[in-house]
Amino acid sequence: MDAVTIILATCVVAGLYTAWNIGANDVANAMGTSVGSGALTLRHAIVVAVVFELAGAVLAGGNVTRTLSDGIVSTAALGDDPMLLAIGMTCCLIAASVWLHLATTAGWPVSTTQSVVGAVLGFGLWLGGFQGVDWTILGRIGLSWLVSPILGGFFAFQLVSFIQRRVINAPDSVHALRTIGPILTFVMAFAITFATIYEGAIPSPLTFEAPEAVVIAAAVGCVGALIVRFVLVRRSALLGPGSDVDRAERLFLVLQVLTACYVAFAHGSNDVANAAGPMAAVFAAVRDGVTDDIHVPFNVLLIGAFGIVLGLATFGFRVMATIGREITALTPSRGFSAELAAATTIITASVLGIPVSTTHTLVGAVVGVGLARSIGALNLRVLRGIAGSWLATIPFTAALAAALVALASLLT
Amino acid sequence: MRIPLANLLVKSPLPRVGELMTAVRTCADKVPDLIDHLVRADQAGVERLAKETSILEGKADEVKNRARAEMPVRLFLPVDRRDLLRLVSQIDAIADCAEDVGVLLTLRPLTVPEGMRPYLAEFVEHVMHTVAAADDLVRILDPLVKAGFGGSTAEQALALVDELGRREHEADKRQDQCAKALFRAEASMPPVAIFMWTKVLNKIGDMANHSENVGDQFRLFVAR
Repeated sequence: MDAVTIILATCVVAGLYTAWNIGANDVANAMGTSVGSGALTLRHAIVVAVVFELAGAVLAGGNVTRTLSDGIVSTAALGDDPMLLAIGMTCCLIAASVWLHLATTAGWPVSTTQSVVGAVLGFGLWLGGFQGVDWTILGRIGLSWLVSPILGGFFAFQLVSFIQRRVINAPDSVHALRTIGPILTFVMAFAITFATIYEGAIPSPLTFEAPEAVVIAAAVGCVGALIVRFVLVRRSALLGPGSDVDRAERLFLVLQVLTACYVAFAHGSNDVANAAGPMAAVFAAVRDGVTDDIHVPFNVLLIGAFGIVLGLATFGFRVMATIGREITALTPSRGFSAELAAATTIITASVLGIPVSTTHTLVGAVVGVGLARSIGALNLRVLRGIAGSWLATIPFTAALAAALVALASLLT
Repeated sequence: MRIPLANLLVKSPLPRVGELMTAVRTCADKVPDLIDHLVRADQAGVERLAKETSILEGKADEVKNRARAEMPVRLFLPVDRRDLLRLVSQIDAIADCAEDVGVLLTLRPLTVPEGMRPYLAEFVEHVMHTVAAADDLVRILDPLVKAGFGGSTAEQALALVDELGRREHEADKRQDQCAKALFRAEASMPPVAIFMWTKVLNKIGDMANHSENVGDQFRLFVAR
């Protein structure tokens, strides 16, 4: 076996393991709220996750993948040795995998995104010292980790307050939801369509410039809103007895099926890149040598998506069942608000090509709902754990990746 | 497993408040029986009921302790944690007073002065009305969280608080009538009996006072 085959094989295995981790833990975190409220059964949640994770990864995951494959490490530091890039990125995947395995075993709330970004940072530092890293992009990524949970929380707070005022505390909640539901559906359909057709990393006949993309996305949004309006009107006739608010909450379950798809799509568009980004760099280096602009191979996104599905099928359903049991505290309208707010934040980051943490954004959104006085109790100790994992992840994966590259370069 | 969401969303201690109110109500409901036996001069019955009240108060205490144990400092609640703890103590205080009424009646066998009889039964009835209003209010805690402490549910809660205040006022008036009747009979009663009766009347009245405090706590919940 030659060195290239060994590197490619190692890279795919480590990439698959990272993707498996994402599927096993992160997807379950993202979709647990829908399972907990009873909008989806466990089985349906897995089907939704598989379909929309794949769609998100393939249709809108290109920008983040590209950022992770060639945005952080500066090309100047790489010189003209494609093997160095291939080995380095493979080491990054191994370092991230090791950290994720450790964290998962210990139950630390670390982010897959941060693990991979930390590892790539370590590789860049080993390569060219301070000059080996594009600090503008890294600064933007670091800032987004702070901004995305806060933004998710802010949106969720506004959304849940709005829903409380306009739906839950309205004189006729069910009727109000039949009007508000389609409007919120418009937002989701618009975001998904825009993220798909706006000039992504994968050139296709479906790619459009901003003005056209907005018009098309708005059109799709309107169609989606009309369909949901139709469904809501039909469903509200079949709600059965109960108080107006309870009936409205049950009607929210219909909308929560949509947010579950939306979250899965958002997650796929942002997090598949964690596994696919470094793999894309390795594949491109082996095929094309060092280039400034890595073309993301389609099959790399597919490998990432496949790993995620594998993680879901083997382990993720158990995590989802656990969350589903715990999250009964979230009524459908609150789960809906948190998911819509978090996923919109994540999709926006995906379009901008910024890798953010889905779970942390969702945690931010749930805290936002809590700030609107709508959740029985939140354990804020978790936030400290997340902050701690933030501080631990980057140094660990960076150091490990650098050490692994140093070792590998000694051997070759 | 890395599942921060499951750790974030912990079990709410709010249902415990309803559970505590149920336990306290069961305990407080013994007081009319106690007074009934006292009026019929059935001291054995009074002793038995006092013991029952004491046991029921112990059960309410258990629920209270569980509720407090579920409220660690890092818990983020839709209401101020200290306000919630105060609510729990006020509800619990109702049961404490009920138990004290039983204890006082066993310390020294008391007879009901003839002139106080009609007022006493009415007084106890109004106190129990007040406790019932506090119970109604506690039942609305869950719908309040569902409505985010706003809208018609909040108005409904405030209306219940007002009703609670009215009932407490009515109970107060009956307590004054009882006291007046007591002091009208002071010439024919031993001073120690007067002293004990004052204490008993105050304890029964305190059940209504603590119920009213429950209402005040709810006013704070809605106002925040």
